[in-house]
Amino acid sequence: MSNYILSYTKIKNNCLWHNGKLIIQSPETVNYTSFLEETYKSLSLSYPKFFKMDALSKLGILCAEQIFADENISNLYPKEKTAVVLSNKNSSLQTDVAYSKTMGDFPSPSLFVYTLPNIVTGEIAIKHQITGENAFFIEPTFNADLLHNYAQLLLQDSAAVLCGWLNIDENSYEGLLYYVAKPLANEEKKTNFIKHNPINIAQLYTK
Amino acid sequence: MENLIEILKKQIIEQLNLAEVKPEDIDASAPLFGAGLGLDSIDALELIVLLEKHYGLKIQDPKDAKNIFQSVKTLAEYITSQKK
Amino acid sequence: MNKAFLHNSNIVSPLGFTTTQNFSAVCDGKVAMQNHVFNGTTYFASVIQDKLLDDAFIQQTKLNPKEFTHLEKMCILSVQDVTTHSSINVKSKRTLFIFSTTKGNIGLLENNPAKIPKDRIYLHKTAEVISAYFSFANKPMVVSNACISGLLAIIIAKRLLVDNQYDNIIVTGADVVSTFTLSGFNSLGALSNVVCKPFDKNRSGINLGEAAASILVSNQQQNGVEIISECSANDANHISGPSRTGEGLYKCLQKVLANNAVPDFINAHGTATEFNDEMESIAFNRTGIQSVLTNSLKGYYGHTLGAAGVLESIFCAEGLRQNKIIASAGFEKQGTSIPLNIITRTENKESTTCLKTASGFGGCNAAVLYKLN
Repeated sequence: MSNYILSYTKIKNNCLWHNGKLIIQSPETVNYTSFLEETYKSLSLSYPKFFKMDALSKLGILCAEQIFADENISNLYPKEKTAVVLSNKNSSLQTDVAYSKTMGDFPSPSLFVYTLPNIVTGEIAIKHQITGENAFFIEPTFNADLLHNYAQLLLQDSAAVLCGWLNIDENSYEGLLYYVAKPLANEEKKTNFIKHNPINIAQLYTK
Repeated sequence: MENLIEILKKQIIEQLNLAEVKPEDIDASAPLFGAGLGLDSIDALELIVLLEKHYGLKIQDPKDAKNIFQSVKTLAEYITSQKK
Repeated sequence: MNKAFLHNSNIVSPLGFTTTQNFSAVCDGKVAMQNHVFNGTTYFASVIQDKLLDDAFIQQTKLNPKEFTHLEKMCILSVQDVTTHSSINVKSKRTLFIFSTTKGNIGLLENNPAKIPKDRIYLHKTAEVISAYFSFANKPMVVSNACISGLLAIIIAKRLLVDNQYDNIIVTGADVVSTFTLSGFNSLGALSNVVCKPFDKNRSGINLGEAAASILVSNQQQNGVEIISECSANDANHISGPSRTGEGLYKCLQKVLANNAVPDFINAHGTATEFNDEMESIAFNRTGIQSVLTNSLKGYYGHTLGAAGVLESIFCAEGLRQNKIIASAGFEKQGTSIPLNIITRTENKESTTCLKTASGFGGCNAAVLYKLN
């Protein structure tokens, strides 16, 4: 029985797409910090903790929001058996640099706690109560084979896996999160499900 | 003291990234932690940084922090008492 | 079905540059931490002397130590010791290198007197540099998941081997002590300026330590310590403090110790923070293993972050092989609300199974059950 990608969110070039549909668009001239905060407001999120997060965590929270807003996902798949497998190239480098600038005079504890790539996993887990397996991989470029391979292994035991690539650069960012699961009996007929394989995953990234 | 309280409210909002909170939303006597502003342990650490950065005050024993940060008012009282 | 086993290992630390040296030093009660000055501030930490490392590096590799960072030299020495003493084909497509680190070459942000290329700040680049020295056929896998990284890397290796994707996987966990991590943990009030005291009533925080630890995880049974079961889980509670009821760790333990398995000893995460040690005691109690002989190794090495899970797993395997239980350094008086059975003397004891736990920022937790064949 195949596994399927049931839902995916992409944030790139100041646009947010959910399941291939453009939901939010901002001019490309807007810097990404402002864009992330504008998107938060556009999605009418009521989550004050958002403003304490670093850019990487904000990006992850926004990508995850649309996925877990889908009742089919939230209600049908047990969150305690949902894994989170994320990846990127830069780890938490932008936040590392920001923290290192505070090191001289007043080291900032609220910046330091974000100087690990998997904190975004923690933030997503907290907001949506996702308590399954975790893994964070560092790769030079988006690696569909790696994500596919490890998610397939986890799905032997986990009910679902939230996978993706969340990368923050000095002046750019990329966010792609997708939700993989074995479809339940009555869900199989949904034609918008995408078969979980490296080619389809790579397409989600490049499209 | 009133002036200090108003300044502190702005500094707290800035230091703790409380982007959706305005100074007039903060009740000077209300508890900072727990309900209300919902501050957590990391916020407590940032308040320690705030004290040092803006007022040159270093809390020697972290256990004192609980009383000092009880509310904006107790924080203002602490700062005022240390300036003497 | 394939199984996965721990084989040859190496530890590069202030207590020695081989597993044998490290195990012996710890059995003798040696502690790696000392006072060191970083950027004008004195910290109590475990640091490998540059000169000792460079001398060993030159001797073992004949390469120019100035072209590699402290971390890379530690890792190359560590992996080399494992490859030299095992009979695996390093260049085979069935061999994989997994690198676990939390901050990699983070020191490059502060100063770079040797003018190491800036792109070595990227964790995958560090892994590539290490990998290139050994001409591994496959690109390295890099795991960076806070303090469970090392244990998670072993868990991932096990899963890949059981799925028959590889025959041999070298897992290396490493991190260095830097002003970055020292000042950071200090800003959290998490550092102790004396030897840390895991599970002790008077514990006052962690010591940071640096190490590179490597282990060969293989599908070969002979002389191996088996990885019986494994799990990771998230608390979904707080990004830098553990769940007070140990939700994530308890979940891992339920899975790893299914069928009420009781390990012969436990090597806990035991960082010596108030919250971690308390949380572990609660999770152990919820699982019914609070009376099992338990230790932490962080009183010898400090918290070695990305290296911890690998370094401490090596000690688990050696403890099983050599019939030794190791005293939990720094412990004097019960300090958790559920008293644990903390090992207070290093002595001989036959054991068959050992539980290893780890927890980290981001609410992550992991556990593995090891079994002597």
